[in-house]
Amino acid sequence: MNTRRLDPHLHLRHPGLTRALAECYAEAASVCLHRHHEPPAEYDVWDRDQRQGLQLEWDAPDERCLAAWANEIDTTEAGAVGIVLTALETCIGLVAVRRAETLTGSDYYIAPAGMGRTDLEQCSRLEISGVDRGSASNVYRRVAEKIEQAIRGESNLPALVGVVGFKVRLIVFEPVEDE
Amino acid sequence: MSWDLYHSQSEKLAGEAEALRMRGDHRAAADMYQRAAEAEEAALRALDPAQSRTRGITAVSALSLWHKAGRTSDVLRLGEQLRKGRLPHFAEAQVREIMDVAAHSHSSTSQKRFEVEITFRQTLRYSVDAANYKRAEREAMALWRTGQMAVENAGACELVDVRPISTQVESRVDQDTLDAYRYLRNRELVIETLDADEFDPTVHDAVSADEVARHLNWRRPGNAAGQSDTARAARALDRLCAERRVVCFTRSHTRLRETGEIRLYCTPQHLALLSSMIVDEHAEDTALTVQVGTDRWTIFAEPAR
Repeated sequence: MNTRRLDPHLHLRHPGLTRALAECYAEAASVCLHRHHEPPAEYDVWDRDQRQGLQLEWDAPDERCLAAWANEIDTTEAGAVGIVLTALETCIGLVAVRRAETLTGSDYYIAPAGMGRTDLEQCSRLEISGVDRGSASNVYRRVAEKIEQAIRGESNLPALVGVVGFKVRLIVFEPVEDE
Repeated sequence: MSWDLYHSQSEKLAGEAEALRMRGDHRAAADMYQRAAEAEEAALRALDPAQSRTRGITAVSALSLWHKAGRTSDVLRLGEQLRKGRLPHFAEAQVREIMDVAAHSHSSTSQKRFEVEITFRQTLRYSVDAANYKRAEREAMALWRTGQMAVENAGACELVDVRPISTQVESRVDQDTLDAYRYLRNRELVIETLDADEFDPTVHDAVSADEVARHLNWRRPGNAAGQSDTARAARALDRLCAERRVVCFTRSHTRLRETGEIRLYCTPQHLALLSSMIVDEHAEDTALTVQVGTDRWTIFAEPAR
């Protein structure tokens, strides 16, 4: 079982993050976890067919933090980035090395930890999503939707999809493979 | 400076902008997004053309940052430049999408002009005397097509669809106007040449906005994707009318199961041919109301046989 504390200094190991973003993602993730669980919480992390356990620890958010992250959709989105990047690093050994903007958000490009910052020719794109209250089947449905979008050519391949189900304690990684 | 340095600078600024946005400081976020966009555009210029994937991602990123900064004019400027160059397929589609969104949501606070299409279904009841159902139906259809009053309007109309459509940016209307005029005039020149028979003079009808949209392959976006964008064609044709380059006829629908009037368009040159065919000034059932610019008058005409 891997154990990790939500880290506001994620940018020190993920060169694609800034300090300000790392702090935001850690705060939002703590609010998302606080909605359903008490620390520590054990999550199942599925990377294709391999299951690993990830025990997450965090400081309970205070009232000011909860008020600042009152928008449920924005918080789930930002919290998902924080949790998925933590699991990606801990369980798969990949980190976010680059960031590029999209119409409604941003994409992170990932590479093995320690490889350093490269250009975007060889990186994989990480597509992140979060399900707040849904069941495991909701999480897998979201994974399928993201893969389908990528295959339809709405985004640039190759890609890895990472979806967290906050309440159901599940994190799923699935590569996008064009047939 | 290299792509790496410019892009790294842009990433840092964009990250700070996003953090500001998440904390609710939208004005500071927009300023920061603008600085990130400038850095990303510089990164794009510094790229080796062989780095196709990086070029596509950076192009989309720069355009998205201009959009997030609320700088529509810069989105359209850079977008037009990018469309002239070569981008990977995924980036072309995203560039198009960002340009469309930016053009249609010019500012979240400013008023925007929309055209709203309301489609409804109305039930009317006619009372007719006939020998059987078939003939009764035919009689009633004839009354309906000629606009006769029904004995009963059977309750309220049923709403079928309401579709708000954001009007286009001025540059696209200019291009649409040009394309519509070219299609209209070329069509007329072809049919006038093919039908030039002085012993059996015939003149083809003018065209409707729907026909123009279909021939120019203008399709509606969004949920109605695939259907002809008649409103877009009508907008271009109405502008040609205002500029007196095209005339507009209104004429009764003649097909079965249709009622009301249809607007038809042709050039003044084609109108001259139609006018030369007038043989009966009192044939009111074939009257054409013609609009040229803001002027409107009626021609009583009977098509040549």
